[in-house]
Amino acid sequence: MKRRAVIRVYGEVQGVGFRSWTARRAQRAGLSGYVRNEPDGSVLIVVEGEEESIARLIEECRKGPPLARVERIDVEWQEYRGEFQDFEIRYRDYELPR
Amino acid sequence: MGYEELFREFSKRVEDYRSLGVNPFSLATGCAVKVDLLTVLYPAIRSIRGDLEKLGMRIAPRRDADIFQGSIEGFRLFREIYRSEDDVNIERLKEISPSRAIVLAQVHQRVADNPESLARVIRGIYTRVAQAAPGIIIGKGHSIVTADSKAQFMAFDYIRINNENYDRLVVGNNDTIQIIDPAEDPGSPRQTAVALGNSLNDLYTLGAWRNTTIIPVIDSPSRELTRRIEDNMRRYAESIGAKLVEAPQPRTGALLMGATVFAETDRKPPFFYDEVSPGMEILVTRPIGELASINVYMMCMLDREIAEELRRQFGIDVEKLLDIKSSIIDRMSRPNIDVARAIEKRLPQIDEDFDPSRHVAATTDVTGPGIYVIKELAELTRSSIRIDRIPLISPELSEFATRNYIIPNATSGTNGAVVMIASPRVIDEIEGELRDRGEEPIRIGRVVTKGEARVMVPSIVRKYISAKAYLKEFDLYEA
Repeated sequence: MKRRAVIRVYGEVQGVGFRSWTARRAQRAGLSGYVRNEPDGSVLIVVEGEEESIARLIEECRKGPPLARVERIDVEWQEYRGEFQDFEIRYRDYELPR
Repeated sequence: MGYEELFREFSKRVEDYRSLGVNPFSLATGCAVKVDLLTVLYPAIRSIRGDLEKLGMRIAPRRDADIFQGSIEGFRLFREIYRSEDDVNIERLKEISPSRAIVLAQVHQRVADNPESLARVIRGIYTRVAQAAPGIIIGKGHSIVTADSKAQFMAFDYIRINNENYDRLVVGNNDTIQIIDPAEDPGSPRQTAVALGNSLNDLYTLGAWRNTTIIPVIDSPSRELTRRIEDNMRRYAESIGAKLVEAPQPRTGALLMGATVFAETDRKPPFFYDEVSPGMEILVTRPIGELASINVYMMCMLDREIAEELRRQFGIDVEKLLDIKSSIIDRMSRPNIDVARAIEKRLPQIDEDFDPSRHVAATTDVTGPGIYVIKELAELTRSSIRIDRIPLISPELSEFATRNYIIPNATSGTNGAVVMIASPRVIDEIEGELRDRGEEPIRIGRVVTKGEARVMVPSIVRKYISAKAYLKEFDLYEA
């Protein structure tokens, strides 16, 4: 069954390649949505797709990429909305130099 | 050295850097991460500009370097470091009596997140400076982000012009990096060379290189590391015949290296935007995309799964990747002075008019925005530019970086490639001269029409840029 999850990952999760690591996994699992760094130092993942694939992604996020130190994950399951076409990293403005 | 050993060594080095407060992943933008210009810095400056102008301060419009009439011998520089407005010594500033300043501001990432918080931090300091030095011009500002809330500071390099020299210009700039290659020691000569090259490149892009003067910016957690970086800077300055001038340092303990730099020129800078006309060509002095390759290398060293993917998708193994990365860092650490000389030769004297058959009309260096700098040139020159090819150091690594979400713009560069617009005849000359000097100049496109700022780019650029914020600025076409 298709569902949506809003996942917040806390710990040493910014500046360790967490977003690209998540995006690769989500893409491989056929999930759509986005990942972005939050000002409070956490990583936000909004994802849609098969519930089983999302659950697997959440489990992988508990460990994260090699340099990450995940302290806590908050997950809010929601109804599937079909909002996204693909999975992307959403950058904050200051991360895109002009 | 086997991959396992490399992997372990690299992971340890990255941990060491993180303990120094440096985030190797900020390399995605080349220099130390900048405060976003459009959404944070400019609105913050706009909100305080009115009050500062009432006090007589003028903040110059955004540009890559400060330019003023005079000579290197004709001015004195005084550096003051402020952590808060209480540090601004009004009596001292009245004594210095500066006419302009180049400012480096390092602010915490939460402050850099929105214009209101940034304005709150800088307003007090700027106001005190404006009160003490009425009429001062802030010629160039460089604003960077730190993850360490205790590492905030502003460095004002005050310029007192003693002797105005009307037949020459001084070009000044400030730039900094934290590190460029996390596989190397922070005190290695290559890191320092890249840091200084990064500062100097904005002068070189304008054809300014004579009587180069370097005023270091060095911050580090240990006296020993600071001394090594200082020694490296001294040697680098000697190698390019530049003068090194000591100045006070921020001493926050967070790693940072770079410099305020000045050079002199008796030519007009290549700001002949109105002279750009259809038929002129675009040349880039060497292939771009340095940061994509460096970031792919970093990710492969951190995550063997990515290294395996790279080998599987593009047949590039870790050994080959190391070679590419090494040659890129070598190139980035070599002074780009030949490009400066080639540009200088093709600029009009101060009292001469621009001649399209002899002179370069416009230049810019390829930095974090990568190929997007062409859009900026199109806007400055109000022209439509057609790009025929995207000259990448490694199209494979840039594509891999995009496909695997490693970097949002895999055409990003730093320290070197300069883009210029000139007539085909001038481009011929520069291309030949740079080739003779071992560079790899490439003609990448041409000016099509004047009026509307547009850039037509082959749609293959999608393989190299994932950030929609950049892609939407281009007119993509099928080649």
